[in-house]
Amino acid sequence: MGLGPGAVLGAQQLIDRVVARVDGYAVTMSDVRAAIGLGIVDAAIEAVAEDLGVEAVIERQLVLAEVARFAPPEPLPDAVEREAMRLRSHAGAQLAGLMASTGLDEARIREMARDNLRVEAYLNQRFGATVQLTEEEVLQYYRIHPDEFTSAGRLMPFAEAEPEARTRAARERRAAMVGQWHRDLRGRAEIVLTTPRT
Amino acid sequence: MRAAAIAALCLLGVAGSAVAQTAPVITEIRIEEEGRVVADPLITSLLETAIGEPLSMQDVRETITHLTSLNRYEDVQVFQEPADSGPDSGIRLRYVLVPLHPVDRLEFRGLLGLAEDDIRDVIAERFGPAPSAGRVDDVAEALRTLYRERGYVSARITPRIEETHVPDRATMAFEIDAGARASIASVEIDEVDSADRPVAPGDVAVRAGDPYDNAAILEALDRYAADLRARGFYEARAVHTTTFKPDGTATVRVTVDRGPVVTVVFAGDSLPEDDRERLVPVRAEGSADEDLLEDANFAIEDYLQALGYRDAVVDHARAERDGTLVITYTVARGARFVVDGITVTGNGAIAGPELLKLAPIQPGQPYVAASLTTAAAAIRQAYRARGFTRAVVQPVVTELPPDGNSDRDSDGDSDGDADARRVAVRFSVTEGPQTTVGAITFEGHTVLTTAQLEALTPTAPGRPYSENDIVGGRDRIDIEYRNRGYESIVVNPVVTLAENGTRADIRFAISEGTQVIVDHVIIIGNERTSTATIERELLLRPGQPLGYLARIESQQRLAALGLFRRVTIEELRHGGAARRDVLVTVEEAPPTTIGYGGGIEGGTRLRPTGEGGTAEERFEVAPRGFFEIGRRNLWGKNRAVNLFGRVSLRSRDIVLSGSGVRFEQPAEGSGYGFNEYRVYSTYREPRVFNSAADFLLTGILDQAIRSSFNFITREVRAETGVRVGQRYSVAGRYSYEHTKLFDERFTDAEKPLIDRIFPQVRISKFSFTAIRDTRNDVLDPDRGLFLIADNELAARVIASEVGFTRSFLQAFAFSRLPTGRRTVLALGARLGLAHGFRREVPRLGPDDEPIRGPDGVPIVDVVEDQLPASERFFAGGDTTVRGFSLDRLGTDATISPTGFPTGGNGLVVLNSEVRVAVVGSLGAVAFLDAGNVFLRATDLDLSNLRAAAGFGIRYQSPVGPIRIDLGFKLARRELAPGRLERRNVLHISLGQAF
Repeated sequence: MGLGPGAVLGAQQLIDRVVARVDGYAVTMSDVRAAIGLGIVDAAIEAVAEDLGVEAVIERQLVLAEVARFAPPEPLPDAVEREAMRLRSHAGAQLAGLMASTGLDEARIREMARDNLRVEAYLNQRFGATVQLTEEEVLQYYRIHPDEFTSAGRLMPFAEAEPEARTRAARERRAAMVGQWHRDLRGRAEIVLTTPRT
Repeated sequence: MRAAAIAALCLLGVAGSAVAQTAPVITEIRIEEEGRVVADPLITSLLETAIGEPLSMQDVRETITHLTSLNRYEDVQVFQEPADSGPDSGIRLRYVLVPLHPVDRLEFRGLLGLAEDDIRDVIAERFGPAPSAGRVDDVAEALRTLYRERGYVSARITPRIEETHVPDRATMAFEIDAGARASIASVEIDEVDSADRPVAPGDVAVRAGDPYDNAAILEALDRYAADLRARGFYEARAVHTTTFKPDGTATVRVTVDRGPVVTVVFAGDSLPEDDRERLVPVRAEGSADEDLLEDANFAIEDYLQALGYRDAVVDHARAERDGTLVITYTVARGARFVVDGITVTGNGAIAGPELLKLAPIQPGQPYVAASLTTAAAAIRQAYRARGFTRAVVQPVVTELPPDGNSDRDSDGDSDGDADARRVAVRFSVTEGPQTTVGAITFEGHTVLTTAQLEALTPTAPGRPYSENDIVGGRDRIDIEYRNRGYESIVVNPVVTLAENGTRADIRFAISEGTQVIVDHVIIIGNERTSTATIERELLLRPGQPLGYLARIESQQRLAALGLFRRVTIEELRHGGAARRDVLVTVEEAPPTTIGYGGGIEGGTRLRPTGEGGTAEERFEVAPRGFFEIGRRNLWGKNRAVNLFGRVSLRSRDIVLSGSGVRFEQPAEGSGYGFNEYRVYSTYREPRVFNSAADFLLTGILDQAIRSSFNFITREVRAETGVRVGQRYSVAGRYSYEHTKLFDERFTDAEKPLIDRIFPQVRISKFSFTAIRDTRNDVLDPDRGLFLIADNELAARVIASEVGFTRSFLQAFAFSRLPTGRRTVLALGARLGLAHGFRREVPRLGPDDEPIRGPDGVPIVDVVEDQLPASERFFAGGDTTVRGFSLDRLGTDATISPTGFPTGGNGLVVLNSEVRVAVVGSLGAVAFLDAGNVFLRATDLDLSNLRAAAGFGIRYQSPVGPIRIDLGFKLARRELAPGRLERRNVLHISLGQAF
């Protein structure tokens, strides 16, 4: 897929383009690659990673627009630097190549780190860091997901599994709420995936 | 589509790897749009990549952002290609712009089944008149829902976007096959409650055999439910479900729940009939829900408590029997209480009367507990604002024994005042220690200095501590940073109390964040207006901070141009947070405006009547009309030209008999001629010659008929003015004016009056005005200075019939006095000086030939030009010396023995006035004025001023201050032996005197 060092390109190459427009904001191929390379969007399935990446960057853009409307407290500089370090470490040895190929610079990485923290703060502000569940709801989660509480062929008693079941149920509930919010954002936005044509 | 994106991303992977190696140098850049090379300067100016520079993906990315910001392009593709001159000579960068094709048409093809207008209305209501192409599937889905609701359950709708070019537009087209419309096969009615009488099939107006139409069914059911509610079934509901069958029919099942007949009755103390429906809105809400009934309890109690029934208790009970629900409200008003007196105790730092002004209650008013709470909070807030952070204010209410005196009860309630109980209200204040500001410190600031921050803080060490000051300081610091582009500024005031709460140390913790700088300013939407005209109004410039105030002011300045229907300024993020593009989108207004109108005017006119043609007033009506046309934004530079014409007609002069019979026919066939016409044209050019000055050229042609003369006026004015900073402005003007009277029918005594308004000489003059204005309010200032210097020069060499110079200097000062009420001292001084030029005039004989001297040389007299009456100074009246009627002030030389003013070349007017706010919008003034008008400027004599004193009232109306002044002359002149001037003069007018 890559070319050798100093190789001369013999034909035209598409180096960047708009892959989507979100309420008029352009999402480019380089944005998607940068987001994947830094681990900002979770594109775990390799085969369709970049396809998922486009969707994830669109979603991130929608969320950032909301964050800008109802701004959470500004993250502390130290926290931004730690998050930026985490992003860089995700790219690892590929960081230099990723930066050159996508036009990333240090300021942009810090900005992405800041955005990550702001999104997290916004979600905590809007949906709470933890979701309070009733005993019945935890029990229901335990019943629906017995495999998660089965060890060595033995299903843990609810009393023993309850703390873990509560954590997992809360996480699932929060994810469902955030997911629904994302769907609502999409429903309100104008999203155009652009088809390559010349 | 997704596959395409993946493919493109894979290609990017290749290119990315290439760029990651040694970046090739750009030797050529080409921009293409639909196969054409683009050389538009707006586009090329947005390129971040440059020939001769190594390829940078960051520059490519930013270029894409700039270009897409224009809202012209759907896609911007960037290709890297070998340069034509060889593989080792660098690369060519090719930008391929794929234009957006905004939808400007909706088309519906095929068998629609529904009226096309109905379809368009549904789309417009939900998506606007021109939905974007990206919403085409949503629009199609909305249409499917529409068709289904109208009974076309098998309608097929296929959407398509059809693009057209030059211009780039698109049509949103729908191929529609409506199919067969379902008809209602049967209507089934379920009745939840049929105790009264069953619902007859015809009652709900949904009939078998009708075409299915969901909206029509809903409307019919709403009507039916409304009818039931009108008959007392306040909770009536009628809903339906529909089942479509394969044979193209529909079964409609209507469920009717009438609920009981609801009756609301009141027991106990009475409530006014008119208020019952409002307080218990069972009928209006169509509900007898328990929550609503409970809310009504509270509403009635609040209503009664507002009338002084402190202990009012309301309860309700439901009783249902035989299909009737009776809701009984039992009202126990209790005694009515009236405030007898209000006092404040325990106060030391703030005077009692000042505190009582904060309380929204007065003796004699009904006692309302909520008002006391509000008043206590207001008093406490007053203390907190003065540093008494621990002040406690407790309202204490004491019921007074009845004394048989109910004179103070004033609410007009017929049933309660005589029996009302009186309460004394006392606000018990515990002030606590006063807190003063100790130290004020700032931390985290690098942009603003401590001195700058201190200047923004409205408090200082030693002053009383006030939370309002702290919040105000925080906000001012915040906005100052935002004006400098620090959009994520956070200012957190931390207050530490010390020394038993008597000292407050304030620390403002500042997190400045990143300064945002304007990268590019992109202006779109201007087709007729030049970009330079827009840029001139923008306070946001590339490389400068993206300031909050600059953005708002830029938007206001653009709107003030009057060229645009809409102006938006958006920030576009790209790259890091520190740089933003500013996108200015304008929607231009139509360049040409046309106005016209017409009407009829009526009035009395003098007419020659009878055989002798004696003048007699007659009421006549005549048509009139106007037309105006304006063109703005000429040549894209915001220049404007306007032409206004007005004409009114009148019946021609004819001689009538005493009974109105015409003696003579008009000379021409028509019965109407011109009464007056006026043509007024202007040309305006802002920022003439790229300066800060505005230029205005005006031409006026005016002819009209008056009762005792006719006139025609021609006038041309050219003026330019400029503001210098916030306080100064200067203006220069040239004017040429000539008025000619004809058909004169006035006496010599009336001539000066007419000359005053219609000078019958040609005046050509230059004038210059300089103004310094530091007033805080133009209409009603209480602080500042207003200075005006106005100079005029008319001369024969510039085609004036008379030559003169004239200066008029005015100075006004306003100062608010340190009193509790708003009291303003206003002072004014006006000085006018004019001088007619001398000239030589040959002496003429009876035959109009020059008279010659013994030496044969014509004898020449030196005369001084007299200023026309319109240019002379006059005084007296509501804005000068108020003890005199308009223009009736002057020396013996400028007032005739009969009291008639002739004006003069010298003027002095001095004014002093004290303006006091009395109550609400009402104010009072006392004034002392002095002044005089002198025949010549050299006659000015400050010891020969005439004075007047008086008083007046002011009312701040929505249209400005209404003024009534009564002025008294301090010394009256004897006009004729035994005949003194009037002592006083009453003036009624709008606005302050000066």
